[in-house]
Amino acid sequence: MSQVWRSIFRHTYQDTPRNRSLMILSNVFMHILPVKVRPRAIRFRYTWRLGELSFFLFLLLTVTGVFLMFYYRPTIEHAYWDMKDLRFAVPFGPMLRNLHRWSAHVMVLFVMFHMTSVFYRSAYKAPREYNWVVGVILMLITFLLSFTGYLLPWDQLAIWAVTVGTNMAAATPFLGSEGPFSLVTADSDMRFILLGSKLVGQAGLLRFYVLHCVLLPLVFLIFVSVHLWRVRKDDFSAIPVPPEEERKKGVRPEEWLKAHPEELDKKVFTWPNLVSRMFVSALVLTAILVAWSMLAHAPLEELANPNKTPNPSKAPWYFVGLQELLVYFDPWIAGVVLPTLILVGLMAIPYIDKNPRGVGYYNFRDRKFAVGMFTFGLVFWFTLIFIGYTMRGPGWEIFMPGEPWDHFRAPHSVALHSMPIWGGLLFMLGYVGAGLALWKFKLQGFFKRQGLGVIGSSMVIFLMLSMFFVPAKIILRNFFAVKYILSFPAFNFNI
Amino acid sequence: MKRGIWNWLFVISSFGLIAMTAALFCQELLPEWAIVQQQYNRRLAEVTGDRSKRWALPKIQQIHLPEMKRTDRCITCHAGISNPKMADQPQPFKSHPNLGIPGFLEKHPFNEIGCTVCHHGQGPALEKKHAHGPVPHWERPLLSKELIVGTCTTCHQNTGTLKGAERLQKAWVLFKEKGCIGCHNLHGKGMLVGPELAETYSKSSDQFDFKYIQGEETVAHWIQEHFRDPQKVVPGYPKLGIPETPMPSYGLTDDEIQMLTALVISFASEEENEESPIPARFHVPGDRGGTLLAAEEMPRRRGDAANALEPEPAAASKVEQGAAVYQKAGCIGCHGPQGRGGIRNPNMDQQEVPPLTHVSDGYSKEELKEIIRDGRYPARADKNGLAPALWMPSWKDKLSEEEIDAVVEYLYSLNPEKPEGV
Repeated sequence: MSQVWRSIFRHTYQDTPRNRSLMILSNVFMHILPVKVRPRAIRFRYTWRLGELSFFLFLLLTVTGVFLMFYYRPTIEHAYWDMKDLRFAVPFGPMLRNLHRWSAHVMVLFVMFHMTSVFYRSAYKAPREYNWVVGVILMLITFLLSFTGYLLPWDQLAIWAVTVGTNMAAATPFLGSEGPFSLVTADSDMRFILLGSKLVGQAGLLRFYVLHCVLLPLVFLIFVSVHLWRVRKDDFSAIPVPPEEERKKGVRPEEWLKAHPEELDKKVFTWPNLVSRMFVSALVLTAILVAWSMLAHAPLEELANPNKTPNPSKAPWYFVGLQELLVYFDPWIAGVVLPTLILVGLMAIPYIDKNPRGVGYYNFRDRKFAVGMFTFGLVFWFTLIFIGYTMRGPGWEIFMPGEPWDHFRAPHSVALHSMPIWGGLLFMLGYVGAGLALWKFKLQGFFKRQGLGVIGSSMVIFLMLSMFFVPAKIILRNFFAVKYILSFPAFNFNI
Repeated sequence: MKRGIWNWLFVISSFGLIAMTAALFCQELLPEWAIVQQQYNRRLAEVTGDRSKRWALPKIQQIHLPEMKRTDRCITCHAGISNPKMADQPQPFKSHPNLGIPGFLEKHPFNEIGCTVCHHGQGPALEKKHAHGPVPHWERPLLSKELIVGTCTTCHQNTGTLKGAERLQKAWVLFKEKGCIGCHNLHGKGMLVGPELAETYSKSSDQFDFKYIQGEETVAHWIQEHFRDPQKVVPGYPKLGIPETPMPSYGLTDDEIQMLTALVISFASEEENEESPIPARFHVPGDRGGTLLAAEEMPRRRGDAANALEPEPAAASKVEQGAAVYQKAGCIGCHGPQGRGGIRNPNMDQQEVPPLTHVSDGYSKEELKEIIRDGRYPARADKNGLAPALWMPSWKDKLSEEEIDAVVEYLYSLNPEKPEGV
């Protein structure tokens, strides 16, 4: 072993338990991993490798993004033509751009799926509540990173998707010029803060560029450091489960572990057991992304033209579900209130779900209520995205997937009416009353058993009522032709 | 066993990545354009006898015109366009012909005006499929030989006497003969029964319905098919109360269709284009006093288009003057030559625009003038059917009292029983 080797790696390369430990301990990057982990933590079907792959995609996006920055100028004169240059004249330009684009889509998807898997294996419960909150923030940043990147090619797809997105900001209550109880004008509202202008233009392009390339990645890095460090410090959630035949008999891991405490101490070395699997997963994903990038080019439509609105103009796919809700709600609800409630509700989950069951393994039987609520929200979210993305054509009319868009088809229009104010108030009171009755007569015992106080219980009821209000309104609108339940046009306040 | 899967995944994805990287390097080292350029270099070496040319390294060639917001890389493959020695070579190596016009090449320096300003196509692209088109999201694919004359008007403000623009001039004669201006607007001049023609080619292809058209989905192709059979391309939606297009089918020949399509392209070429502007120094003012057409009759850029039509040439008699007005105002488009009618107008009485040969039997001159001045919506033959799509527009802003007088005299003269017209 030469002095050079020793100065760099500090230990020999023989496969000994000591060296396996040192591989982790003497490396600043590897140090984020523990030296040993429980065998179930390395199982593919526990984490589905989604968290680590999301982080790997972040790294891949950083690398490709930095290379793209060498060729891209964030001005409305050059941006689009730099995309054309990347496509045709820059060496490996198409691969760079395609890899960046497709990785971004996959990252958004993986982050959502990662959250889903964490939920189903209760990995957010004590002591990991706060790390779940950090995770929700990271998901939000991922959305924002993708959304800000969407504008940069400066084509028709870009500016109109961002126009749809930022117009929602103008509908913010109080702080949006088009929202209810507006206190500001169009040149000082939320949209103006985002775009530096009332319309998507040069100022907005520069803001999105700086957000996309500097600010958001930095914030992401800070939060992801906390996130990964917490995973390490809080110990990995996976717990040993009873053998197959005992599980079939209905033995829960919590009880089984009390009888077999020694199982908790069974651990394997992270190097190479976990590290090799992480490496191969990243390799497989890279191979898939590279193949995808060789087969399909990232979309680039016509040069952005603020005077030519494509019909339909769609938001990026992960926001299309919210855009779909614009059919049923005013923008301040679909674009501001609902996303806020979704984020707040997600962050609240660890604090209102005090059921100690299921931590570290997939358990649906003992947490039917939590799993039911979450699954409903999740399926609803992706259904809306599916409808908005594949089934909406010109005029936001329903077209079956694969059905050619007929721009001149007769619009499906029904005369809509708003409920009278007394009717609307009555409906809202009845709806809230039904929620309170559900609490009083059905869920009170359940909440008490879980140790939920009044605040926790009312939070659960509030989030439930909010979530089910959306399908309720969809039914009212589609089957009873109700436009608004409550309408106060003077304040731009319509529900 | 589990380890086995991971080992296999490692091997397969590693080899996959290595293979794909190798393929990418091959693509980068020998792209489509480099192969073409090598073939060019070989031919150049043969033609010039200079063997060293054969080994020149391929590189991207471009004409960069920041003023016009264009970068034309066409010359990467079409490398011989300015080399007279390559005149007999096949495409893409051939030198640019002078179109039989002495001085043409000198007046159109490629390094100053680029290629796409005349030919259209995607300048920055380096793959034939994308450079020539049609590809989605590039609205101006390469123009065919027949249509390219339509872009002369980008710089030449008066193509009425321009050498080389003969097809455009023939198309303009056709345009007047058919009376297009009687229904269509052109740079804001004309009538509003049909759409503005100056904007047609500037629209994007998704603004056209290609449901009834076979072949490529380009605006030029749509225009051609629409000239060929308007009702096939725009059959309307009778169920929704949208009638088929009232544009008459004139039974044009293929050649006439190509010429008229070039003319429609030329209307759009005249318009200012913010995406790729033409600096003023390239504008060629009109050569007034041409012989083939009166200079004033060629359409001019938006802005100086007067609302009224141009005065017709001095005539010997009122009837003759009326005939000239009938021609220039485009009455012929719907009422036919010499007022003989014959243009379809579904759900109108007789299902067609009324012929004018016998108006002197049914209307006084004052009544006729009233109709011309104020226009008229035809009644529906079938009360439950759709409204007839063609109507008589109001001419009082377009024609002077004197001209209306003359037209009425002309219409009275058309009656075969009373040819004197009185």
